[in-house]
Amino acid sequence: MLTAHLLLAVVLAQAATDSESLSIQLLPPRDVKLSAQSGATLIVEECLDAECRATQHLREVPVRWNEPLTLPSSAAALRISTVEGVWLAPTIATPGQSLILRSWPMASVDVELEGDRGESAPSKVLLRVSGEDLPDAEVQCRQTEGQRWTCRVPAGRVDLRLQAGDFVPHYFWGVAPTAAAPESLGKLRLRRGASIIGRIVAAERDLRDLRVHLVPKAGRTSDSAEREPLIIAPNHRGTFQFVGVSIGAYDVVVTRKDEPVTGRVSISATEPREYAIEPAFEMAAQVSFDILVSPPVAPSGKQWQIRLDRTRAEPHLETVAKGQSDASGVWTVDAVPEGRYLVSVDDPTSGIRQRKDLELTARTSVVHVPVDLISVRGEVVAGDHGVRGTLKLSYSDGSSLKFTTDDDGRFEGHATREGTWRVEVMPDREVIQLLRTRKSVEIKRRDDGAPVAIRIELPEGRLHGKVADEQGRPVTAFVYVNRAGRGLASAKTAPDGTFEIIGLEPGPVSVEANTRTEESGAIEWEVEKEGRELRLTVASNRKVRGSVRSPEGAPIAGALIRYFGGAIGDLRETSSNPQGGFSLTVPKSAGYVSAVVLVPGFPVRITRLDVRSSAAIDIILGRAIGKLLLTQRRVPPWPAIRPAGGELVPLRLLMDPSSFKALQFDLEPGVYTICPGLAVTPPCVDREIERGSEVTVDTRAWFEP
Amino acid sequence: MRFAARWIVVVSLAAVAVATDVRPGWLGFGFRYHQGEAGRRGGTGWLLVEHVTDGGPASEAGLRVRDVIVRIDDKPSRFASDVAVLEWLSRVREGKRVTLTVRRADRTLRVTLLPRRMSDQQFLTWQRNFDLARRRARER
Repeated sequence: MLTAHLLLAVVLAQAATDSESLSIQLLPPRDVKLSAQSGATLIVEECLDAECRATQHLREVPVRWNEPLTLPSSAAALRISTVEGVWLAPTIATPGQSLILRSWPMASVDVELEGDRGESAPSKVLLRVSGEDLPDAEVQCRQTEGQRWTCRVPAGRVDLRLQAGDFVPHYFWGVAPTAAAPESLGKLRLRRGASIIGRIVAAERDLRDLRVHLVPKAGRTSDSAEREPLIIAPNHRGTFQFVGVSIGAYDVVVTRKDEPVTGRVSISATEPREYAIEPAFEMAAQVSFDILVSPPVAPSGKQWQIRLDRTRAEPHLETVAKGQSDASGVWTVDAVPEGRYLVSVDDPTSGIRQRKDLELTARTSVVHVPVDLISVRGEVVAGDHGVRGTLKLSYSDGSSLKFTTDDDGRFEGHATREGTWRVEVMPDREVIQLLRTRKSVEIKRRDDGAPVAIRIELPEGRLHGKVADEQGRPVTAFVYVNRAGRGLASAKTAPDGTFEIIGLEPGPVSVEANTRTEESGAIEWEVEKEGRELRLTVASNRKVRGSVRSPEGAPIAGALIRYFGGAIGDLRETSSNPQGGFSLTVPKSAGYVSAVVLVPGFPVRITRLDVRSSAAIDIILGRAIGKLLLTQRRVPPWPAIRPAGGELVPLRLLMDPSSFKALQFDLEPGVYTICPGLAVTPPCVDREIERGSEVTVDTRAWFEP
Repeated sequence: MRFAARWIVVVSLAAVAVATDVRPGWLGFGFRYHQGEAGRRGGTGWLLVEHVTDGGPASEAGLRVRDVIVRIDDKPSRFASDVAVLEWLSRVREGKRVTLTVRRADRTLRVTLLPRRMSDQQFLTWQRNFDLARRRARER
């Protein structure tokens, strides 16, 4: 009894299916004469399965524009297209659906196919059609004569993808067939293999000069003849296709004038088929704009020098354009990509520099850079005397000003901003001297517009002396004066070996003299108002040998050893050889040198090496590592660090040149002191770094302007 | 900061036969040659890797900055000078593998590079570097 009920239910269900129908409403083509017709003729094919892989019972059905048509059917699905002048994207529909279909004027394209290397052309050709307001559709082309094929397409601008058998698909971009006559696509040579397609999203004008490179990865392509990069230009729509690609791994890079302008995309072609790069390459829009500087010319009467740097990632700046403003202060920048930039406006004569951060967008047309000029006037004196020479004022953003002082030490000019400026003085003397003072001047604009008065009083300390070699012959050398690890002044001796440095704060200093091949080593000295003459003797350097080994005693090759030859500031470096050996070049009189030893995978060793004798130095690295993370901008100034009982060294010495990106350091476990400079004074901090731990030190507040 | 004067062979490494203007294969690393004991009987020198170009053959083969190259194609590096190294490298060809024996800290490993075609710009740079190295050698 139950079986009979089930059978009845199946029969009823079948009857219900038989009675289902498809409702279609056909919209006429837009803005063409066809819309004046009353309708079109549909081709309706019954599909044997829901995917419509095969059809039967083709029939022609007339339909009027905009009037619903009901098609009763018992087929699994129906395939609908048109004949006679109207193109409809071939549509597969199932009974029970209600469809509204848009039509286009019918056009056609012709193409002649030729098989690769004499192969016969395929028996089936499919054309994928796409365009604006057009549903993606695939049509089957018809062979007319020989290897000529014709395919029905909508009239208007379309993109076509021709797939002939299992040959590489070929693209035709922006084809514009009309209803009047078939559009010829010409003769197409079909190729086999893999192909790679992609797209660059950018304005059409920004696509100029772009090239797409398909770069084989070393040793990872099957065809040795095709290891050279393939280079093509994208079309006006930004689309590109590499055909005949050998099986292998590739990088795809988009460049403009040989400069990469997007990231690198890796793709592997593992079989002969089409590979699409997704997502598309995104290109920044190109912007042309004017930079307007006011005042239009520099106080020196010269035109402004302007530079545009792209700030991709700190601290790297990439100069994209430079030039000079015209008489009205305008400089036109042509076609640079959107993004973040730094504009620098310079007057090399006075050292005036104005900088401005800039977010460049497609809407940017004019960028105004006002140069704030504050009139200044003043004098530089040492004791009772004016100092003739050059005064340099530096601001914390890196900008600086230069003023020439006369015999009385007087000067006048312009500053570019209010604030605190560091002072350097280069007195005009018989020898070149640079004096880095610890002084600073405060510049504040006066309400009455009068020049700001600046008086720079240099200390009265004077250092003078003579440099000679071991035989007592005078030599030309550079003399460096340091105090507490900080360079105070430097000078070049006259041909008779004499030197004089003025403007020094009285007190203890460290002095050394160097030639290209000889050094004096650091000498402790007392600067006074009228002190004794300092005699410095330079002698040939000597070598101190040593080795770097692992805790197990294995020699370590390639260790980078940075050390100070004499005083702080005289940084040198060397590397260990395959047997772990190294040699240091130190002044003849050197006793100890501060050094850091860098080896990837090992903790950094910060050490003080005894170089008094010629005995070999043995450095045995540890394995245990703790991490120090520094929170600050990746730009100077850098703090200093010392292990317990050691000497402070600038933290920049611990930066591995091969991994400069991260401000993190692998250190040996222990207690470290981190200071803003090379002196253990507040706000230095002590941190214990344990094996496997990570310790973060935020130093940003130390260096805020 | 003052660094000792030194000669750095930073060739975007390639090897070129300048005399015949044959373009060598591009290896994609820069180095400094240390003659060491190479001038003595049985002695050898070494190449300290100072630069590896991203995406280049050396980078893809796993060569790293500060690797110490002690053997090239299983032969000890017994070059008499920088120029001798460059002359040897000038015989490297695109597609012909080069095997380097490398000391990395306390380990020894082998790295095989597949030289690629050198671009026009790289070839010019190479020629300039080679000329400079030879001029420096003559001046010494």
